[in-house]
Amino acid sequence: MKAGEDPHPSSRSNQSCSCELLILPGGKILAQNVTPAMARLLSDVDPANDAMRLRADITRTESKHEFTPGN
Amino acid sequence: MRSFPVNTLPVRRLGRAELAAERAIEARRALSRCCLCAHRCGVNRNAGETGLCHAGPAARVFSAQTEVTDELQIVPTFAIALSGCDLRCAFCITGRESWNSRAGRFLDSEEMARRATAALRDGARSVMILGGEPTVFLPDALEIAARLPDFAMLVWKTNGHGSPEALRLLDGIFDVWVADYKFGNDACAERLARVPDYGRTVRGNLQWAAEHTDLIVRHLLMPGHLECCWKPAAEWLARHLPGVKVSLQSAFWPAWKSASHPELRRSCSAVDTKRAFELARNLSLNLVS
Repeated sequence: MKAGEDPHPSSRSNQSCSCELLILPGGKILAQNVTPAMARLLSDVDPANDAMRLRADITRTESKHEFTPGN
Repeated sequence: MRSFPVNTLPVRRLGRAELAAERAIEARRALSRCCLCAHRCGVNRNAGETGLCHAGPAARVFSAQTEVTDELQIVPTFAIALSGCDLRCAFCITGRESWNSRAGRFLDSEEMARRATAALRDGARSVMILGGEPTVFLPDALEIAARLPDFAMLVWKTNGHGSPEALRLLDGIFDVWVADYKFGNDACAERLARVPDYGRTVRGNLQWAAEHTDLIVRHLLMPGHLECCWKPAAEWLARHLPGVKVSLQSAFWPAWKSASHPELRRSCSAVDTKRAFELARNLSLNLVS
């Protein structure tokens, strides 16, 4: 799955972003090469996942711009 | 004219960038008789000969982007992934690029350093060089480091299978090492990664790294390998590197050629994952996330 443009400021140097998701039959999602935008999305999908929430929170702290759908 | 006794001559210490630049030249020369990894093939990569990794003299990059997957201490990190590796792990999640040192596009060290510096300016906490196995293209990795600001946190993500020559060239360059301790015994290492004498090499390198860098030891928990790999690795860490940061990865992803090994055709069970973390806590390992 290509994430396309990642609006996180530190991703401005990304020429294209790429991360991978593996959705297991039981619904568990494994993710690798997680970009800041994907971390925020995954944290929204599963707010109880502390590991992803911490990473999303870091990117929210660092981000100067908020991603909103349609931007 | 003032004269100085020899033992008090003022010594100009090199900044990291200058040191990396010097080491890059030396590493480039070392490709003429390549012994950068513990295989010590001794081939002349500058003349087109190739060893076990099949790598030529020119590095290629297959990914360069800001990521947050890694340990919290270093993220967001601008991760520069170089193709090629000296191991052949059947379960490699980047097998297509790691097993092929010619995957991706040619690395332009100057352009990559510019992008990394921009990422740091825009909020990335560190710059990480990884693979595959970045030791394979150590000259290029050092050339990137030579072009990065001295204040940048540099992270070296490695399989821990480098040679003493590589360690000497790396000394003092990278602030943080994220080093794999994949296998708790040599038989699993031979069967799953085609690497002999794994334990002695990697344990020695982990001890070196613990003394020379801010070390995070990473272990990927693999299905069916709790007793034979994680338990011995954890016990060794507890005994020989007490207090070292340990990142226990429990999200095994059956990738690449995992299917050729029956036990690797699935992800880790919740039971095994729980037991692995219990073992770590019982050994008082310093787990980091």
